[in-house]
Amino acid sequence: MIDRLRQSLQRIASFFRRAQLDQDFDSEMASHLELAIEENLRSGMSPAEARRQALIQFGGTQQAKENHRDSRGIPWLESLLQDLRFALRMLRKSPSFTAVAVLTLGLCIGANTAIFSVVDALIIRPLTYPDAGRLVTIHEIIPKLSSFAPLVPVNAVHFREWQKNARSFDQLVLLGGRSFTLTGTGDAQRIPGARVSSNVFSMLGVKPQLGRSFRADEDVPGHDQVVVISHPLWVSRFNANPDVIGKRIVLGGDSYEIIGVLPEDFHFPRLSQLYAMTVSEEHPEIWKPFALRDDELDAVGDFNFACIARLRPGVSISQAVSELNLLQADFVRQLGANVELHATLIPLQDQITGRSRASLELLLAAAAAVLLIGCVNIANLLLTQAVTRRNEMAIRSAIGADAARLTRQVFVESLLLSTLGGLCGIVVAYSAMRVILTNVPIDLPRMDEVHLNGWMLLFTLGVSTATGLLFATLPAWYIARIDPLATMRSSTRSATSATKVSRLRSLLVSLETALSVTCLIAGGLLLHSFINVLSVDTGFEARQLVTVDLNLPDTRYSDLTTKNTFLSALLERTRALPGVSASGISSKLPLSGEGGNNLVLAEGVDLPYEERPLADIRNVSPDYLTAIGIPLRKGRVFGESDRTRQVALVSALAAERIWPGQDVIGKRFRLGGIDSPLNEIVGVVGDVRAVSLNKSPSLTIYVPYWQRFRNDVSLIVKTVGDPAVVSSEIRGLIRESDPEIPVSAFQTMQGIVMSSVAPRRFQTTLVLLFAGAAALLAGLGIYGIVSYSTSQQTNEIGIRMALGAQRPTIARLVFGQALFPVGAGLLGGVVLSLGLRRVLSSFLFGINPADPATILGVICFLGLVAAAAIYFPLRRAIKISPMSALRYE
Amino acid sequence: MSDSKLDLLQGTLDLMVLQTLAAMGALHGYGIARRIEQVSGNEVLLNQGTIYASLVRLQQRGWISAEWGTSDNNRKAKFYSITKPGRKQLSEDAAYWQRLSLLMNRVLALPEQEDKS
Repeated sequence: MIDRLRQSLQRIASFFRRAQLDQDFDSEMASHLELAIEENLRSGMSPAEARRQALIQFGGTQQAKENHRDSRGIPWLESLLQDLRFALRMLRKSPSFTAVAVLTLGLCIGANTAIFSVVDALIIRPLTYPDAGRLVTIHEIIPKLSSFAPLVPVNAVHFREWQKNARSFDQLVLLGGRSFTLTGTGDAQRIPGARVSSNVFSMLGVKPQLGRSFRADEDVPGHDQVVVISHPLWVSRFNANPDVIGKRIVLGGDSYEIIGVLPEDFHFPRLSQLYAMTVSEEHPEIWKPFALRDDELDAVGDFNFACIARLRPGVSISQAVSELNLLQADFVRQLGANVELHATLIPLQDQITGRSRASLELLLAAAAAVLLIGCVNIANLLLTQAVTRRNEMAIRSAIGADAARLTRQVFVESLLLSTLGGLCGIVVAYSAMRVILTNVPIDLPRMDEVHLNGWMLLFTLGVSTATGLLFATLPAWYIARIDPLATMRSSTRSATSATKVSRLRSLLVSLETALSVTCLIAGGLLLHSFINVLSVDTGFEARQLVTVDLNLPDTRYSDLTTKNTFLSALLERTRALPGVSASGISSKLPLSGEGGNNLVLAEGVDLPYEERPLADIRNVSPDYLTAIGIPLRKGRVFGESDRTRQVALVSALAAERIWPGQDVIGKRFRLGGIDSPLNEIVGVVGDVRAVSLNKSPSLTIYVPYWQRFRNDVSLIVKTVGDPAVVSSEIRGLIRESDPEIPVSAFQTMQGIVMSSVAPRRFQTTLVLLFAGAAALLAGLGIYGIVSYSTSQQTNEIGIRMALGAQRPTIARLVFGQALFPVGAGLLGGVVLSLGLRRVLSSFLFGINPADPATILGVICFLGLVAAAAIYFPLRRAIKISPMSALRYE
Repeated sequence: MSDSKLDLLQGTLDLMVLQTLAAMGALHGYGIARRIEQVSGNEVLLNQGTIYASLVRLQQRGWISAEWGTSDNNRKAKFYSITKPGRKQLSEDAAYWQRLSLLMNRVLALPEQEDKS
């Protein structure tokens, strides 16, 4: 055993000392021969005879050398190196082929690596928390509401029940969004934050880098004036000063003590990723204990929060779900309420990445298709090379190289090519990743965790090797079947192998045409959907609108009166600015998340709780509707004179659904329980796509801002002049009125619309890019194959011409030959894309996945590309004079 | 190929070389080859050149060592000698060959069955 190991080591050592050992052996052989000659001379031979006999006894010196080398070194590696040297020489000899192949591969592999690294970070690699596989989010289900919201956020009372009774979990954590206004040090700043159960960090397995985490006794109102801050906030706002622990800061007018700073590599998900509904919450930077207040403990209303839990080891999701459902049923029985209540779990990983997953898989599929087309092209080029090199291969085979050795040569060449392509791909991937990371729409979660790493390099290596092996199989197959005798006897190919090779080529053309048709159809459909989304009737007018978010500190704006006074004054002063044609406020802007959802109970109708319609409630100023361009359909808009009355506007859809076939003006309704005040409808307004452009308008009710208390409002201003000038004037106005109100960045409404469609645009752009690449590669592939086969047919063409065939006849012949596989590919691609229509339809908006216009357009486009790819080599072929064609070869 | 000479079985040459070195002390390649020829009484079909593949193999396994030196008649030559592990290996291999050859003798001594057709 040790001897064997020793021998292996020695063999490796010898491999690196080849030259020296060869020399040593040369002298040893020389000495051997001298000794033999000497002995032969002594036995009386003539010098010439003595030498001859010595050589005969020794046997072949070359053979002895080979044997010596083989038994001392690593023979397979040495011949592999030989193959590699030879392959390098071949690649150097045809630089244009090499460049085209390496670049094609580099782009294809690079694109795949870049997309894959996003997929890897988002989907494959688990979250960075320890034992993250056991982390789940919990959502509630109210079956009666499931058509409107299949999953609803968590109710705090229900959460308490689970926390008390559920045995399936180690820990449960309740989370809620909560922005803070930090004042006192520098400009007032709005900081996204969260209310969390005190055990959140221990559940996620993170320890603060400085200070401590929350204690359970801090999770109670009155004792909750402590915060933990993120590393970035610590650096940006507190200059990474370790003394911040124990310091008090002012948040929304209240004083809090900083007790901990989280480590730099800790990532907390965006809260919106934890909710089952569309909410606009960002990455929290400040955490405070949840400290549930009594007024939040409504057992049947207020489904407001997110919940993360850690499963007990060995408990499956379905076990935990059934336990939760039992608890929910018990709870409903206790309440005596006539409502069905369920709950469900989603693994945290799926919860966070779920929405992006399908989209990324689509991109990966498109990138893979392009890579496959690239492979087909290179396989074709290599096949062409193999055919032209058949003489060389025949000679090598005749002088003793076996088929395995020859095919290995082909594989070595392909792998060398694909490895070079892979290296090039790493460069491409690296730059592509930077582009993706800087341009990616914010919707993609965990984007900050994406970077090139060892896994990526491994992936690239894997893909390059796989592609190399893939495109080597055809030429290897061809070369293994070369009959040396037949090949060397005639300079033209034997008829059978020629037809086989050209049939193979036609198959490749069909394959790549089909793949690129599919890509183009997918791209076309996505583009169409994107245009559809952009041209959808939003119900509002985004042009010339600037918006800004305000947060009134709740300590100083603790009641309706102070808030209303401030807002009225601000609206008044804004309206008076030059360049402003209208200004208004709303609790929520369109496309910035759902407003406050509330159950509506029409007067005189007594529907059970779960059958009441749910409406999106927005608190607005009268001018808001004018500013944003929502038309009044009926009645009037509320005005200052309504300050003392409970009034409301309803959207056309809400009027139609809640009061079908009735005149709603003057009708009254309640929001919430039976004891809440009645609101009178004074007007009906147009419907708005307020949640998302591709989501149809929801039932919406507009209530005057002065009726409801909210600290977060958005100011919206219709400008006639330069929005930038107006923005800075408004910023000044706000600062003047109250310097402690944090002012966010101004956004144009058009910007908000564009960023709401950014993920779709990103996806469409990439798929179109891949589709374009696919079409280009397919065109190049067809061009390459046709020009090769026409050059092979030159002789035949010459004979036909000499026999009197007219050029157009020949052109038709060649064109027909080339067009047949393209046509088959076009057909195949259409069939393939129809087969994928169910997958595709989930990405589309307002277009049939089998849209005939798109399919026809793609066929025409690719048909034209193919025709151009065929035309140029064809023209060259038929321009040739019969005489020179016959002399060819 | 002359059918009067023996073709060497795989591995036998290594054993012969080891035995030769064990019996004769340090020898150069030519000496080893000549010695094997003499002992076999020219029964072995051996190109002297093939001995070197065996020598390098044995050397890499650490069973023999090699050193350049001078022959009796003042010629530079590479001298091989058996090492301690080499001797151990030799006794193991020799025992193995003896068992094998005894077995083969016994098997070949079985009487041939009469042809009954």
